[in-house]
Amino acid sequence: MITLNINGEPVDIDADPTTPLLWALREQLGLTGAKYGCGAAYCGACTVHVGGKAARSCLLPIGDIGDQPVTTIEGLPENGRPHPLQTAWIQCNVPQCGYCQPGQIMAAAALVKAKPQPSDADIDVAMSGNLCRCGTYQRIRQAIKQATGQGA
Amino acid sequence: MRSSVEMDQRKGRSGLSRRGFIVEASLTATGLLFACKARKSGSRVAEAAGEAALAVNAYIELTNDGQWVLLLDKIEMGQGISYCYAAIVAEELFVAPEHIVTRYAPADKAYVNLNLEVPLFGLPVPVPVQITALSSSTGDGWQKLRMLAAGARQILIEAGAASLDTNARQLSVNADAIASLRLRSKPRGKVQLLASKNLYQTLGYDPRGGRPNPRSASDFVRPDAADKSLGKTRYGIDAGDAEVAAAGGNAKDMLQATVVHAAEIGALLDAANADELRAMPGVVDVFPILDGRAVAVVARTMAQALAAARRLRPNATPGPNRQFSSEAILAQYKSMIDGQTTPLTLGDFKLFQKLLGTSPRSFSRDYITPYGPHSTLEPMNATVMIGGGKAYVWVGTQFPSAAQSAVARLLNMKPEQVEIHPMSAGGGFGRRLLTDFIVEAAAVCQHLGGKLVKLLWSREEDFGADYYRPTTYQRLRAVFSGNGIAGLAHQIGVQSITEYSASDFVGALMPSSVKGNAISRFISGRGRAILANANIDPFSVEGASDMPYAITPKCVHLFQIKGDGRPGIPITYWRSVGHVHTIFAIESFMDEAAAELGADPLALRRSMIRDPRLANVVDRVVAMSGIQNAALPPGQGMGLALLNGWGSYCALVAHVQVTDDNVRALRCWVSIDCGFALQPDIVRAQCEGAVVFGLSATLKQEIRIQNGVPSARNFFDCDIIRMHEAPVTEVDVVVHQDDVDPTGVGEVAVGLVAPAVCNAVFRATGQRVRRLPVRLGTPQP
Repeated sequence: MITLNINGEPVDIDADPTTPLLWALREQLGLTGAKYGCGAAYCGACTVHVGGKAARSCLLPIGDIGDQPVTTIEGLPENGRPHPLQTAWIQCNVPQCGYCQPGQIMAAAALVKAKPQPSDADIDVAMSGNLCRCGTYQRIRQAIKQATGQGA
Repeated sequence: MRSSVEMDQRKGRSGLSRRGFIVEASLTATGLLFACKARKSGSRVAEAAGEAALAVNAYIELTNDGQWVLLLDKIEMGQGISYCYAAIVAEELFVAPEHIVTRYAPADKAYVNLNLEVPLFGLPVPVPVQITALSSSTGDGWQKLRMLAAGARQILIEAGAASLDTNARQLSVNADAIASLRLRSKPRGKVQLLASKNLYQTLGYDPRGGRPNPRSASDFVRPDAADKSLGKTRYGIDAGDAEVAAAGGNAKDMLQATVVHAAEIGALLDAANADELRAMPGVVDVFPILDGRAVAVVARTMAQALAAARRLRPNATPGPNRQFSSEAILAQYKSMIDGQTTPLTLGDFKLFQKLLGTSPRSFSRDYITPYGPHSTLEPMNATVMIGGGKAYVWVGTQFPSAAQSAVARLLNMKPEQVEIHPMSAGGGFGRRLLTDFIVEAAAVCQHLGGKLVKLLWSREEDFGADYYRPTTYQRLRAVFSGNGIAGLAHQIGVQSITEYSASDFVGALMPSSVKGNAISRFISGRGRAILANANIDPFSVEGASDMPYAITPKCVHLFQIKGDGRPGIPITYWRSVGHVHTIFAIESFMDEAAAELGADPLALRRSMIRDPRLANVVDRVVAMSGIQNAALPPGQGMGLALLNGWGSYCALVAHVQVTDDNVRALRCWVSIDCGFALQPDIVRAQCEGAVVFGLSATLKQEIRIQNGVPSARNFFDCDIIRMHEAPVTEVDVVVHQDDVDPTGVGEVAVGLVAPAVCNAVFRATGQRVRRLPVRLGTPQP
């Protein structure tokens, strides 16, 4: 049994310590926002926060996490209010199929926590790890800027 | 009290003829009972299961508390069809689109796409199946849902008039009247769900005559944007209690499975170390399915299944595709084109040859496109349960009809015994038309005695067992006269997509599984040869056969490898299908021909365009981009491409920067005329996405096949465009003042990207690129 801090709550997970965090979230905890896209930390669909930083949960064994707090897309809203990024995502009509968007938003949330006014270059670097097959990159960029008060 | 209204035969604006029918509205003491019967035979009426709702027809329901429900017969895979259909229905019902609740329609013969026609043997053949394909969905809803919703409105008015003991014509038709009727009518008693495919042809109601009022970009929000941004949307991969409980499934008991296919496409295999895998944590069983087409690994959790599958040692028998490599296939097409070996021909080749013989000036260029993967970000998956004489399937599918019949055939059931429960998909792009992975899931479930099981393909299997976009070799030859093109021959070497998909379409169209089995086997066998020999696969030549330039004579030749040497590499539809290769060739060739003629590429094109709607989008994109007078620094260039397809018109300019053989698309401009743009922001988003999608195929992704083994196993072998590589794209959506129908959007801009980029690369570097993906400094055809 492994105890993790998930979205602010201690949770017991009955799974092998080698189980990737992605699958523990999805299967043991029913938190299906994080998605499987490649299983090789290459597409970013599994992105969550571990210890306040963006992490690829598909290759992160739950036995390696310890007491670092884990935040998923489900835990991003605060006091029932969507994160400003989520609000901007909705207002900018970012999602198309939407499959990559939880990972995109988690990557963006980590970015804006580290850099509250990210430049285009900052966005390039932070977001280039998250694939979007539908091609919503332009609106993702717009939403990040809108959420950080930087306009279009 | 009964009132009956008999509707006359009328021809509607859209030209569909309508037959008369009788509406019976009878008022019980405490409520209203509706029953609509189509006079024509062939309608089926089924009991609505359980819900206290009024089912007006197969698409529209009304709950007891006045909530309109739309049953969506298309898959929402990002293209925004769930919004568009809700908007169409809402307009007729006097409500806002966000007041329509949408849920997926099951697979059922009641749901047919009326906007799908495939040219077969030279004739436009309607294909009335339940399918999301060919950018036909908005047009289908436009025809069908307006009438159905208008009919629902009218039925409510008639019943309300009956209940108020007044003449329906005296009821003023406005939002308040509808709202008050809705609140007053509490359906009781038997509710009948109409499942007649003739119903929308029998309703004699004109839509309101207005168009859904497109919200401006500033206040339009997609209804699915919130859930998708909050991580709440459920895709096939997420299927759980929310989906399966209604069928008696329990997600706690759900088994998790993955499959391994042989590395060599189509080879059969089993697991050499099955016992070792069965001993791994959580593994329930390991077994081949479908005569060794794949090996299934079943476990308690997906993590355990995937972990075990990674350790699987395949024992594969060399298969029929071992002889095939993509380079050899391309070489064979080239030699067929060189030798003019038995092509299928459209247009007047004799006249072209005569012209060629008499003209001293001709010009020819060859173009190559590779096999391409779909790479939907959600890999293939399906969840299946079998029991009580029924099969239940939860799957993100673009083709519920085919899924139903394919599973029925495998399990030796009637299609009606198979319940397909569509779910949203993380991308489709044509891959989710196919039933291969769904049949695998059903086979796994069958082997497990019907236990609820989810099958998920790993990304490696998704790349390796894809049905690719086919590789093509093309030659365009023009005869010049004066300053222009006096004749054009377009020669295309490619496998026929229709051959590969025919058995799925037959299965979807055939009502009985016995007949369907026999015909499906025939189509997969000798029928394939007949199709190949006698029919020009329309998807191989679209974009060329209907090229919008006024050039006479022009002809199209299709070269297919037949017989024993026919490549067995599975292929299928890939967003924009034939246009990916034909438009690449044509629009690259136009620039090359212009250079050869000493003409301006835009002027040459404009001189051959007769359709004012096409000329309009070209002029607009030229103005937006400034391509004609752009003073660009060295290493940068702009290029143009245009097309008329799916009933729409589109032109695109790409601005590229080339640094040390690395091509970067900086900006794109798109002008699209899609008829009535139901929601311009969705059209813009689709074009923005199509640019990135097309750019991935232009600059990055290819599948090379060597001895039947594809070259990519994951994104690190075959990457797509990322944030830092995405261009800034500006989309202009043409607004019509006159009365036009909506035409296709989702696929339109994809095929323009490659030729525009390559034309731009030439301007930037002087190098011609005739082979995708762009690899500067490599040999070009």
